[in-house]
Amino acid sequence: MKQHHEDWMIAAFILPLLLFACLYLWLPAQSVSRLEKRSLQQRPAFSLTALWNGDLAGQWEQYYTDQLPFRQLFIQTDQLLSSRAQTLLGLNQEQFVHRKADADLGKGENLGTQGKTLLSFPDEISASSAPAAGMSSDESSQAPPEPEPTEATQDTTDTQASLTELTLPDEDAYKADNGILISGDRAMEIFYSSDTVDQAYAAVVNRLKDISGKARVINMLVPISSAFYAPADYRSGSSDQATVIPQIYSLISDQVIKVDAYSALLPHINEYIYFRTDHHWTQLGAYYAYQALAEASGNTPVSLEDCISGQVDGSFLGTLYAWSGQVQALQSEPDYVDYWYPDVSVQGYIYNDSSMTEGYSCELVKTDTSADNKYLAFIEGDHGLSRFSSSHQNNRSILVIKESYGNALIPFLTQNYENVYVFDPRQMTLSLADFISDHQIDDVLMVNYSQIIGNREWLNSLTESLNE
Amino acid sequence: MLISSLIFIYGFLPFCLLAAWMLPSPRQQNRLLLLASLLFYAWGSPADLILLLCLSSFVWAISLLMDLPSSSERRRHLLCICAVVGLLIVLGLFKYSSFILRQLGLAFGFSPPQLRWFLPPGLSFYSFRLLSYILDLYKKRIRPQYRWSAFILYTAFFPQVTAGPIMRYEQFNRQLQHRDMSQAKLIAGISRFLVGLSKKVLLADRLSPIVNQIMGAASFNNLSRGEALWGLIGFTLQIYLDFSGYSDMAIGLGRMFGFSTPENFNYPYVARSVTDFWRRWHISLSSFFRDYVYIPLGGNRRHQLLNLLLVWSLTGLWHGADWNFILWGLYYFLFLILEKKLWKEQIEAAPRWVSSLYTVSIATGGWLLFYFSDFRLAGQFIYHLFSFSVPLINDPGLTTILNNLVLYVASALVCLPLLPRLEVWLHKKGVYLPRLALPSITTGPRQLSVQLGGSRAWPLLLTGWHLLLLFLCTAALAGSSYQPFLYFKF
Repeated sequence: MKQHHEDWMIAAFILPLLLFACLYLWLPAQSVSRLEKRSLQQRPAFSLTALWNGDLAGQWEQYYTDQLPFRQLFIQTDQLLSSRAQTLLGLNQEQFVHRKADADLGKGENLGTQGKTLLSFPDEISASSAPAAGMSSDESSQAPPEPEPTEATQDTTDTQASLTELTLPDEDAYKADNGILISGDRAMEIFYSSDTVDQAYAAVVNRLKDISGKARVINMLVPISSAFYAPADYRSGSSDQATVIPQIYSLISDQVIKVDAYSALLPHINEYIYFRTDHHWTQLGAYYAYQALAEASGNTPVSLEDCISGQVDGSFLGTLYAWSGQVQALQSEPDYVDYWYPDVSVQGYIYNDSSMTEGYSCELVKTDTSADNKYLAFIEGDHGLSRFSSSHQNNRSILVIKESYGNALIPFLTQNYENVYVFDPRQMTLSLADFISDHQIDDVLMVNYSQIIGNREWLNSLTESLNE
Repeated sequence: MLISSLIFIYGFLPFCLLAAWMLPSPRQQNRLLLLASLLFYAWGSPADLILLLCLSSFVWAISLLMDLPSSSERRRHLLCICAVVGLLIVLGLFKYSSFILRQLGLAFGFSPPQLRWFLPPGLSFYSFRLLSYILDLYKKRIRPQYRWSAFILYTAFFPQVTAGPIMRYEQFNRQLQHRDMSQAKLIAGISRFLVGLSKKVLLADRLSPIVNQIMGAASFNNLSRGEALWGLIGFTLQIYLDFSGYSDMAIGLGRMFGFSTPENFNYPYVARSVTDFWRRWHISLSSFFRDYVYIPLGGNRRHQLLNLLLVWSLTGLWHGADWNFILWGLYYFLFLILEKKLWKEQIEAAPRWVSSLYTVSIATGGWLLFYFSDFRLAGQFIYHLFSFSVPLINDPGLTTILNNLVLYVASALVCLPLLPRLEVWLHKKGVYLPRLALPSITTGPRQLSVQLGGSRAWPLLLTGWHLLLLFLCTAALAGSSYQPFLYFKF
């Protein structure tokens, strides 16, 4: 009798292991995890080199991790249990979650160009004086002779020649593990900065001014939602965006127009200006900042009533939901995306490279995106270089240097500028000095969310384009 | 491969157990275990296996030379020195050369070259196993192993190769020939393995991000005193649960294949003194230093202070190649001396909770030295622990504490000998509790086999417990594999 017990007790442990061992080998491998936004490890191919240097072992370990049968179910169970454990005693209103995301900002995210027709714009070449980086050699050989340099070009190249190469502080200065705070149904990133990174950001903006020639330079640092919604202790000292942003502005040249987005957003904190499950602002938030921007730069802002408005199809659970490990509290209230754009006719293009000779059409707001990330509706996400030309023929051009926060702002700018050029330094390197003079840019707007101050990767990409 | 990874649990282990089940004799199983151990060790980097095989073969060859009938005492002595020096040189080369070069660089003002080699996994453990073998042989406590394969299995035995316990050859060899491979022992092994796995992945791995968030922060500007203490307590719990969990897994795995492995931890945080703490913490290492360094140097008979100083510097240095580890060793040296010379009697007379609190406070302070290799950071952290100009608690600190209260309480309970107590208590009542927690020290080795007499509910309960732990651990391992990116990484 006792023997019998022991047999099935052993079987009860070994059979599940064997079952899973077989499932691993038998079930087809999943290719991507949409929520994590990464491809999953496939069954590794054998090679002697990989075996010797340990790569093969590493890939197999990753395979077992990524292809665990019922993985999503296990992850959700784990999240449910740790969430419950965190709130079990009912003592705490907030949850502070260790960030589960890779900190690097990668290449940005966009809706892609699949299914779009490649367009050519041979005329563009004449507007661009020099073949810029990213252009292949056969394209440059087709380029017509360089036009006479304009006065502005002369200015900037002279200035640039006298400038030493801009460098950022070492990676150590950017080391900060900012957790995610969950308060009620809202998730927030915690802001963090230091004197070193503040100064480095200011130096980048100052350099932008130095190379921009006659163009006006405008800087707008947008606070992240914790500036308004986190409990007071999470926004003190170096975490206090209300103090840090003005401090950084004080380090930036007086010739740069600085926009106080914090004060513009503050009166509206009871409105839907930030997503609850995503790290972005909503377009309504972007609108209030746009009003302040228009005022600071002497433009008349379009009013929301005069805009065409609507809601992007479908709701979404954003990045903070994913990074926090799918916290349950966020699931009950998904976000949605309202949009507005001025009632003018706009042609938008995404360019393959800085010569702007080839590209694809692009919508200012893509209202029917099937992507999980609904924020990509705005200018179809992050592209290296794009341009939106409006029917307002006022002959004014703006270059917007941005990461994804800028995307929601772009539609409003088509009200005030005939040409809105949008540049995301992560995906393309171009000589900003040349670009600004070649395209007769009137205003250069560098718009960032405050987390960029601590993001060496983005700043480094921009620095490359400033040093070009 | 970590024994707490999914590939081990669902790839390596089931096939090993299945093969072991099909090969019932110890001899055949030994072959299987050797093959499995070599595969296990070669997995991450086959080059490391070559080092392990070379070192073991070197020691094995010397042991055979020492055993030759023609070997004089002098020759045995020289051979033993040769083996010990050889092992220490290899260990020093891999583990301490960059530290030594750094110190030389500081002293003579040159910039030390960056070494490109890494510590092979488990070298600190298996080289100590080899040292104990050769020293025991020299002292004629054991006979040499003539079979190369059996000797390699001793060095590379997969449950123990990467993180101990440092099992003595004598214990191992005895079981290599004859061991109890009953089903009851297999069940006991399963229980013990799952308990260890749970300690590691359900508790220690969850404490780790909290500790790093507090103690590993780039600056302590917003850190309150309460949160600093919380972080340090977390590290105290984490390091015990992680290491003892690993030992539990190793012991459990050994038991699944019929081996009895000596205990490595015996609830150190309820120790009654620092001396007692070190009888309960990483027992196989402290007994190694006792038997092979302290006693041969003269123990407490000749220049005890000097012996202790050496032993504790070495203990510190063994844990890592940096000054803070040496300091950590000397910190214990100091308290052990103080206990011996000053307050031994007071501690023994004090109530149990007072002496345990005293011990655990000293251990916690020690972990602070252990954590920070940068003394400047350690200083700042100590300032944040004690300075009255730092707030006692702030809102983020309170959130961190309240968020993790359940985890901390659960972890602390696991550090207490509750299950063995329960076991003893039930035993007195005539109920035979299957050994859930299974540290066999408290009730002695006679009861090693699982007793399933009495109620029929026990087997069912125990199986349910196994499956629950397996499920929770799998969920936790899946959860820790969850790695979202901001943008698509396709």
